[in-house]
Amino acid sequence: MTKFLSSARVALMVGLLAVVALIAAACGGADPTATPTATPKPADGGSTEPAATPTPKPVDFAGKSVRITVGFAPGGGFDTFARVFAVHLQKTLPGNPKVVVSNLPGANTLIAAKSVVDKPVSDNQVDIVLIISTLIQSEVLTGVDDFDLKDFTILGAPDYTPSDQVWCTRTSVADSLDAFFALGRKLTLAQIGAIDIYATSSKWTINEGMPFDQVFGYTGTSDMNAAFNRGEVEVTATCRQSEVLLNPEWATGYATPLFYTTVLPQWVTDGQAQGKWGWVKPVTEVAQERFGTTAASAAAFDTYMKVAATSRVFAMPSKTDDDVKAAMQQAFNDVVGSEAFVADMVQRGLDVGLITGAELGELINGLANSDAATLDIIRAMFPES
Amino acid sequence: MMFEAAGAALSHIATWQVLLALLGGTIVGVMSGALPGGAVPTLVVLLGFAYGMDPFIALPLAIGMVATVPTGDTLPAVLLGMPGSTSGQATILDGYPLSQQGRAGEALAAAYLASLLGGIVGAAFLFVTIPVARPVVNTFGAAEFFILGMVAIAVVGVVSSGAVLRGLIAGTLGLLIASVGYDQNTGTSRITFGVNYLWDGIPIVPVVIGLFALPEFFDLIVADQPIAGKTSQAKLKEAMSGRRTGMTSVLRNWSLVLRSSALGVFVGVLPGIGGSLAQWLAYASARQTVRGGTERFGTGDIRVVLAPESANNAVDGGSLVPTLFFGVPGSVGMAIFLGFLVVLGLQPGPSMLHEHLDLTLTIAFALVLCNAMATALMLVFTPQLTKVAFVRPNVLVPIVFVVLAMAAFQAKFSVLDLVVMLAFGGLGFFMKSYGWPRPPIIIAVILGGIIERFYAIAAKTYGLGMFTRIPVLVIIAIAVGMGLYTVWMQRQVARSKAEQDAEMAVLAHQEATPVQEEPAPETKVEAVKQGLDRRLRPTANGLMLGLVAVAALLFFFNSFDWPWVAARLPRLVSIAAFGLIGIYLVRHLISPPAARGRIMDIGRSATDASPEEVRRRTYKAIGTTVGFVAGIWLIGFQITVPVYIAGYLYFFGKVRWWVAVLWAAAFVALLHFFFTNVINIVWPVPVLDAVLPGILTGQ
Repeated sequence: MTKFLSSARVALMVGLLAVVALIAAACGGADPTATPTATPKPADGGSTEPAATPTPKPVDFAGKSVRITVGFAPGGGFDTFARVFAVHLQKTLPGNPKVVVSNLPGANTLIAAKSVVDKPVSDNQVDIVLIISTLIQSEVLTGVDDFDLKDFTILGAPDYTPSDQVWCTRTSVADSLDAFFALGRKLTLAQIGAIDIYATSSKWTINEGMPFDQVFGYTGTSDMNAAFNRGEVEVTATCRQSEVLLNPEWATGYATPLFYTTVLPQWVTDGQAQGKWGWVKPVTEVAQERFGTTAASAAAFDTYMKVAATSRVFAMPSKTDDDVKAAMQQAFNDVVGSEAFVADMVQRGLDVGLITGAELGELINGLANSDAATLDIIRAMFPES
Repeated sequence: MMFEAAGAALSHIATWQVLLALLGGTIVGVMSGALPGGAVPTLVVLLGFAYGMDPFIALPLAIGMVATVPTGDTLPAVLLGMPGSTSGQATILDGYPLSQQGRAGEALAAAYLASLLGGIVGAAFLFVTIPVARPVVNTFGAAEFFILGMVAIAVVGVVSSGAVLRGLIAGTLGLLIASVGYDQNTGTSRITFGVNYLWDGIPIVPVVIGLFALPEFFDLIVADQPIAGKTSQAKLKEAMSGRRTGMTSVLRNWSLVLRSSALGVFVGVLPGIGGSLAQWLAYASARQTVRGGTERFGTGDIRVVLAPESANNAVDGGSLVPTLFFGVPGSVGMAIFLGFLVVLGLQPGPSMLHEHLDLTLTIAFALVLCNAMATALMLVFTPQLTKVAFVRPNVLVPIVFVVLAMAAFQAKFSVLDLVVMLAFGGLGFFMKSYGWPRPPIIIAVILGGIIERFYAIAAKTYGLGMFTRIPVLVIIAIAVGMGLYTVWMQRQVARSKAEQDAEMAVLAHQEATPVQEEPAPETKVEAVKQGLDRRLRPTANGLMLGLVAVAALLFFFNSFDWPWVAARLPRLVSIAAFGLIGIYLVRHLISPPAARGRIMDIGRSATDASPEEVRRRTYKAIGTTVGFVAGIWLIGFQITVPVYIAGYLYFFGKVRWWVAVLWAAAFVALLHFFFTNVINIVWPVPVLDAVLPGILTGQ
C-alpha cells in the first residue's frame, strides 16, 4: 500500500516535470555572432577606467553557458529587459552559448552583485549581473557596504537615454507655470522610493525651493500614473513620452507640463508647435529664474543627470578572463546597437540607448572626481540615511 | 466592437492548439498549487520561453498556470494541513479537521466546485468590467486601501476568537515582523542588523511555511500515525467517497459561495491589497454571517472550506483588471504574468482595451475554461489523492520536508530562507502546542506593509479629508453594518442558548442533588495561596510573551534613531504590545487560569505514545530538520537532499534500500533538470565549497 502511494507521488512529480519539459521543448531555441574590444576596469577609489588590454584573443563560447543574474524578482522591468537581451546575446556571441537568466532579488541588486563576485571563476560559465545604477551612484557618493566597484567590469547600459522627464500637474490644479507658482503652497508629488531618479531629481528641485511635497510609497511608474489620474496627487514627474503613450489623455488637456530635465519629449514639442505650453523649459533654468539657483548647483544637477540617464547596468566580475570580458563587451555593444534589439525594446515600450562600459566609466569617474561642493549638492539629493 | 472581439476570441480559443495549451497550463497550475511554493517557479519557466511565442497560445497557457493554483493548493491544505501556496491558509482551519475525521473526499469535492464557481464569477467580472475598467480602478486610492487595511485588521480579532488576548499579542508580533527592512519613505534601515537578506524585510513564503506547514510536519513525526488516524479499509473507503455530499454542500450554500466570490473579485481589483488576504476576509465574513459560524467553525465545518476557496479563485478575475489595463499587478503571480505580457511584445494599458481586445477576451474565456478543467481533473483524481492522508508518516515526512524547504528557498534563494522557515516553524509548533492562534501573525504580516504604506500616502494626500471620501464612507458603513449584524446574530444565538439552558435547568431541578459544603475559611486561603504560587511559576506561555516583549523592546528603542515616518508604526505597535502583555500578566495573576477554549487554529494530533517516546520523536523531528538545513549550509543542496531522503526513508521509513535510492534519485533529477537547468537557480555556495570547488553546487 505504502509503496503504491509512494509510486503515486513519484508519478505526480514526474508528471510535473514532464509537462514543464514539454513546454521547454515546445518553446526553446537558440542562435549566434561577435568580437572583442577594450573594457572599462574599475580603478581604486570607487571609479572605473578603461583597461589597457592588449589585442584580445577571439573567444569561442560554444559549450559554455552565460548566466545573467538579475537583482530583481521575475516579471519586473529589469527581468523583462534581461530576458529579451538574453535572446539577442545568445544570437550574437560566437558559438551560440546557452544564455540563461536567473533572479536573485534583494537589497537594491546588492545581493545579486555580491553573488557573482563571491563565486569562483568557472571555465564553463560566464557570469553577468544586471544591477541598478543607483547602487553605483550610492557607492560613488556615500559608499555602500559589501559593494566595491573595483570588483566589477562594467559592460555598459542598454537603456541610456537623456532624460525626457517632465513634471506635470493636473490642468484642474494649474493650467500654466505661473498658475502653478501662484498657488503659493506645496503640491503633492508621487514617488516610489527615495533613491530613484524621479525622487532624486525632484529632491534637487525641492532643495532649490520648488513647492513640492513628495509622497512616497507607490510601487512603480504605472502606480504613480494611476495616482495622478485618480487625483490622489497633484504632480507627477513621469510625464515622459513613453508614459504619455499609455495615458493619452495627458496630452489632450488632462495634464499641464511644467518643466523638464534634459530633453523635451515629443508630446510637449508637438503641443508647443500648436502654440501651447510655451513656458516649458529645463528645470535648471526655471530654478535659476524663480529661486536664484547658482550656476554651480545647476551644473551639479546636469552632472548627476548624465550618470542617472540609465538605470540598468550590465557588469561582469572583474576577475573574469580578460579575453572573455573583451568578447562579451563587443557582443554587448553589438546587441544594443542592433536594429533588431532596438525594435524589440520599442515594441515593448522600454528605453533603449547604448552607453558602453568605457563611456559609463568616464561619467562615473567624472562624478567621483567632482569638487566637494558639487558632490555635496548631489549628495543632498539622496536621503540622509 | 465588443461582440466582434468576443467572436474572434471564441474562434481563437476553440482551436485544438489553444485548448491543449490551456490544458497543459491547467495541469501545471494545479500541480504547482498542490506542491508548496505555488506557481512562481513554473511561471518563471514559462517566462524564459515567452519571447517569440504566439500570444493566443502563450496567454491561455499562462492563465491556466496562474488561475488554477488556488484549486490545486486545496489538496495539501485539506490532506496535510499545510498551505500549498500563500492562498491556502484559511482552508486549513476546517479542511484539515475534516480530513482527520475521514471526510477528505467531501472537503476536496466541495472545495473544487466552489473554486470553479469563484473562477467563473471572476471571469464574468473581467468580461463586464472591460468597458468601465479605468473608472472602476480609479475609484480606489490610498485612502480606501488604508481604510480597507484597518477594517481587515478586525479579521485578527475574528481569527483570535477563543483566545482574543493571545491573538492580539500574536498580531502585534506580526506587525513588528512586517516592519523589518528598508523603509522606502525615508531610506531608513529598520532592524536589519546589517544583514543584506533583511533589507527587503522578512520574506512571507518561508514565514507561512514555517508557521503553518512545519508544525504539521513536526506533529506528523511526533504523533507517528497517518493523518487520518489508524488506517482501516472502511475509513479509506469513506474518505474516498463523499464527493457527492461535498458538491451538494456547495449548492446548499450557494449564497455564501457567491458572496465570497464577490469579495475575492473585490480584493483582486485592488492592486495594493494582495490576493492572499481574500481568503481571510472571506473566512471572517463567513464566520460572522452564517448561522452557527461562531460556534462551529474550527471543528470541521464545510462552509469554512467553501468561503476561502471560492474567494481565492475569484481573485484572479479581479486582479487581471489592474494588471491588464494599468500595468499594476496585485500579486507575485500577476507581476510575473505582467512581465510575460511585455516579453510577448504586449504593452499593458489602453491598448489591451482597444487594439488587443480580442486577446483580453481570450484571457477571460481561458479563465473560465481552465477553472472548469482544473475542477474536472481534481474531481476525477480526488479518490486517489485522498489516500495521502493514510500514508505512513515516516514515508511522507522526508518527501514533504524537502518540498517545503525548496518552496521556502525560492523566496530569496538563500540558506537564510531555510533558517527563517525553521525559526518560524519552531514558533508555529510552540503556538500550536500551547493554544496560541497562528493566523493573526500572518494576517498582521500581510497587513502591516499595506497599512503603513497607504497611511503614509493618504495622510499626505488627503489628510483628515480621507474620512469624508464617499468610497471610504461606504467601506466604513459596510464594516459597521457587518459588525452590528454580527452582534445581533450573536445575541440571537445567546438568547436561544439561554432558553435551552433554562429548560435544562428545569429538568435538572427535578433530580435531587446533594448540597455541597462550603470549605473552611483557612482551606480557602491556602487554596488561593497555592493557586498564586502556581501562577507565578514560569510557564511555556511566558516564553511567547518574552519573545514578543523582546521584539517590542528592540523596535521601541531603535525607533528613536529613525525619522518619525519610519518610526511611527513600529513604535505604536510596540507600545500596544507592552499594553497587551501587561493585561495578559495581570489577568493571569488575579484570576485562575481558565480551561483553554477552542481557538481558531488546528491543534496537536492525539497520540497514545509514552512521554519518553514523544520526547524522543520530538528530538528526531528537530534533529533531522536542523541537520538538513545545516547540511545545506555546509555541503549544499545537491548532496544533502538525496542523503536526507534516502537516509530517512531507509532508517525511519523502513522501506527497502532501492526504494529509498529511487526517491533520492528522483529528487536529484528534480534539482538538476528543473531547478538548475530550467529555472536556472543560483545555488548558494556551501561553506565547504572551498574543499570541493564546483562539485557541491553541481556547476
